Amino acid sequence: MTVDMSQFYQVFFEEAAEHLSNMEQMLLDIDLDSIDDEEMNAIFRAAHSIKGSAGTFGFSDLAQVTHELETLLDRVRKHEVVMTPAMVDISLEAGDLLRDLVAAHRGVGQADLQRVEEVCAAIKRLYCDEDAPVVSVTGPVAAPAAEGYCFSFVLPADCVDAAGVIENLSVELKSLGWAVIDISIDGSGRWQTRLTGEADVPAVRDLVEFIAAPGSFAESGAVPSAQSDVDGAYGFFDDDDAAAVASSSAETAYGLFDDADAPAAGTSADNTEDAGYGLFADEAPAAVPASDADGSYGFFDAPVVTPVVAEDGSYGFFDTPPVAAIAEQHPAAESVVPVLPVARPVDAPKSASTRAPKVAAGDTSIRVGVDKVDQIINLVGELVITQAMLVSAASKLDPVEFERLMNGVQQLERNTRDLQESVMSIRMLPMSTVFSRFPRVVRDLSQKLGKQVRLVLAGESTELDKGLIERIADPLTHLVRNSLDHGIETPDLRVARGKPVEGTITLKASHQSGNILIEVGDDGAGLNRERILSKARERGLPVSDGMTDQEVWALIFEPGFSTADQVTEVSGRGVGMDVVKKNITAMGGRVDIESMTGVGTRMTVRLPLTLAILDGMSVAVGDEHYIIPLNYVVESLQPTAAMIKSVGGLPRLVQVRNEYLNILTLQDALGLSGGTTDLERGILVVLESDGDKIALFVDELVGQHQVVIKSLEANYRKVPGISGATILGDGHVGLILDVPALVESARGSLAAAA
Amino acid sequence: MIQAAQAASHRPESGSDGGYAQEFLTFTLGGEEYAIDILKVQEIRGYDAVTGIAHAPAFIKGVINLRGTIVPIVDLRIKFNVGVVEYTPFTVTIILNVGGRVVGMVVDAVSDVLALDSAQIHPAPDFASSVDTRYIHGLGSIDERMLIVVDIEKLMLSADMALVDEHVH
Repeated sequence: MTVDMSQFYQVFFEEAAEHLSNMEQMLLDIDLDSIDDEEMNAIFRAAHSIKGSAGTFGFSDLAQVTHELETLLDRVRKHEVVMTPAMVDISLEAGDLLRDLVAAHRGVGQADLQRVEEVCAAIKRLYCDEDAPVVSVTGPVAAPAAEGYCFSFVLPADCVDAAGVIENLSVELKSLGWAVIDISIDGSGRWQTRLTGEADVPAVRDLVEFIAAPGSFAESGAVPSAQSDVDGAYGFFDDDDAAAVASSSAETAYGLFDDADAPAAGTSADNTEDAGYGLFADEAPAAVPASDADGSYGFFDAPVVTPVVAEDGSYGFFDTPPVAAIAEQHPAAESVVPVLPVARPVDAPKSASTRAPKVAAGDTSIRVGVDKVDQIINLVGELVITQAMLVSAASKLDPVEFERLMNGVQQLERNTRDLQESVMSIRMLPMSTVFSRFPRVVRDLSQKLGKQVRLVLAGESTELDKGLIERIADPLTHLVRNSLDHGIETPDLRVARGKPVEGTITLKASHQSGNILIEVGDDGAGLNRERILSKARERGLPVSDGMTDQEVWALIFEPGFSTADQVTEVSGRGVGMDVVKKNITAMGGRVDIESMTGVGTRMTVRLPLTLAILDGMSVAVGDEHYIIPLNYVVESLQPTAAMIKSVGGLPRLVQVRNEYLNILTLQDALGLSGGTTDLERGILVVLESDGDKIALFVDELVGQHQVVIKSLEANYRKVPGISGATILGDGHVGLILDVPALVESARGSLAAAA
Repeated sequence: MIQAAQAASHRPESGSDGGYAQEFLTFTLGGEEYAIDILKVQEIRGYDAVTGIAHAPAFIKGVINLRGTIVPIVDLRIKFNVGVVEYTPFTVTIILNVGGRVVGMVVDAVSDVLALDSAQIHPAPDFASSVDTRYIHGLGSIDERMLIVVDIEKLMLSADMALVDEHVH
């Protein structure tokens, strides 16, 4: 009997996605200094589960990648190899690839089979090269003082004429302007090479990589004439340190290995010793010749030099207290998500991880379709209405005679309210579901940009409606990328400005009176008022020097506005901020910017807690009731004749304190009849949207309550001036006013009349 | 409503010639009898108080709350300019499910559920009427009665009814 497997695909896709995001989370959290076996096992299990089901369903590409990944993880978990950052990287990359493959099987995009091969090969290289990652190096072997540029490489296994190749290499190097001091093969088959000269390092590297086995090129020594202003070097490899620190003071060297201190004291690099590390050093750019290199430890593939300032000392990749006495306390209350790779000091006391273990919530959850939840929410909404009807019917009865009924009705009221709250909370998800993607975003981007950034998350447990969570992710990502790209300065610039080298991006969520506040803050350069203004003039926007900062900052939300000097891959094209604003406004929220030059920028996104519920003020016009979203209401007042000013014979302005506001009559705006026209007999509700205020004239205020938002467009169409509908306590439909549109129309009608 | 339920309870036999028969719900508007595909009908209910919608044409009475769903109500009597427009406890609303949307229409009365096979439906001649012939599927005849068979889905989703945003269809 054949079973149609395709019916289970959806389940597999969902599961795979869940496993992948778990795996990514765990990989990002992993502390290379003290790898918890349990964590390793969990990562392994995630990969294993994907592999298992991928095999079952016949997704061979998925199975192939997970198989390699699993083999690697298995070896790590059995302590056969030591987990290295390179392994974390490749695992993350494999995770990305798997995600793409799953998407391809879902019918989104194309599977990149070449990438599958590449990633598999890369993983294989890591776990096959067994000797390499094992950290078991003994003390330094006596060696001649290394001066010059040292590196090592391995010739490919299939290289027949090694001597010839090496000779050619020497000739080529000479032609590049280097003098070869020493080139010899060591016990493990690595060619140790030492050069002197002033020519450029990348060229050498290119040359060697051309002949060497892939990935085997490793730089081992630093720099001709290491600078004396080197602040400190956090090298990965002892000889790196030794060389880099050779001419600086010993106390700033945070060597990796036990023997690091010795060479740091003045001995120089031992170029035979790095035999085993070729693999990590892979792409490490050497401490850059001359210039301002503070220290270097290229770890990841991007050839990025990320200097560190010694006095800051906050360079814990995984919160491990750094070696020497410079341990800086991280703010305890906030969870610090480390972003940049930093040398892990082996001789540091193996500190117990200070982070609280994450509670695995996944095991106790069930998977339910959102439509089912929404159906329950609808039904509960109905129940609430029925209950309200019962209450009003019961209120007409004699409380003494029907005491038991009254009690029952009261109990029903309490229970329905509890039920409603619990059902609504099903849709609520913690902000951490969005925040969890940012460590990765920041990590990747900061590497690409050569910036050093620490991401601080706070308030991840703040809950938000699922619908909003999904829609806030993109705008937030944009804001974070923006902060990273434009906000945080480059490390040199930060040093020059006397700031810690490491920039900080803060993501913070909190509740504030029925709203959720999400802050994206950075301690970067801040917005440049002059530049924004001149850019705005260039673009022909109406600006003046007298504008407040707030108004100037708001300009960056104009379409096509970008002050980035350069268009980068990351940002600068000027698409985005306007979209961010539009998306957030569409969710019923808003964005505020605070910025101080040189201190940083903070973008605050304010959102309603849920899309489904809104705090509303109901107003009456004639027989109809309308709901005004409370967050637009500034105040309500009963006008007196003296307050109303007429323009062109018609009363259109009201003086509220020292402001003149447009009067918009709701009855006219919606084409109704039956309401009051005498301004003194009604109520003016002052509304504010986008900084503009109007006074909306209605017959009376009815009350203030939470309403469940229903779509009018599902079965009808968009109605100008109306943003949605709700069901009132009496079971009738109430329409929710679209305040921004009304404010806009008031402005339009005034302009038309003028 | 009861009448319709009773009519539905005794299932009509398939058409006399044994051809493919379809069931129709018939209702009256003024003196005219209309038939619509019964599969488009979700339910039949009395006329509730509606909430008026701003800037809507007169025949769109407004929206009602149908167990948590906001449903627009159209009064076909106003739209087609037939019958007496009054709302009594006996005024009937037919709730339709067309094109994934739920809409209600007010008619004079619901009369019957009938089976008509294709032979009983004759093409309608072109004529000028308040009901555009584009939406008339044909004219059905049963005994001496003439039924105007309306393609209700097409009608309700048409721009004429102003129930949907133009760009949708």
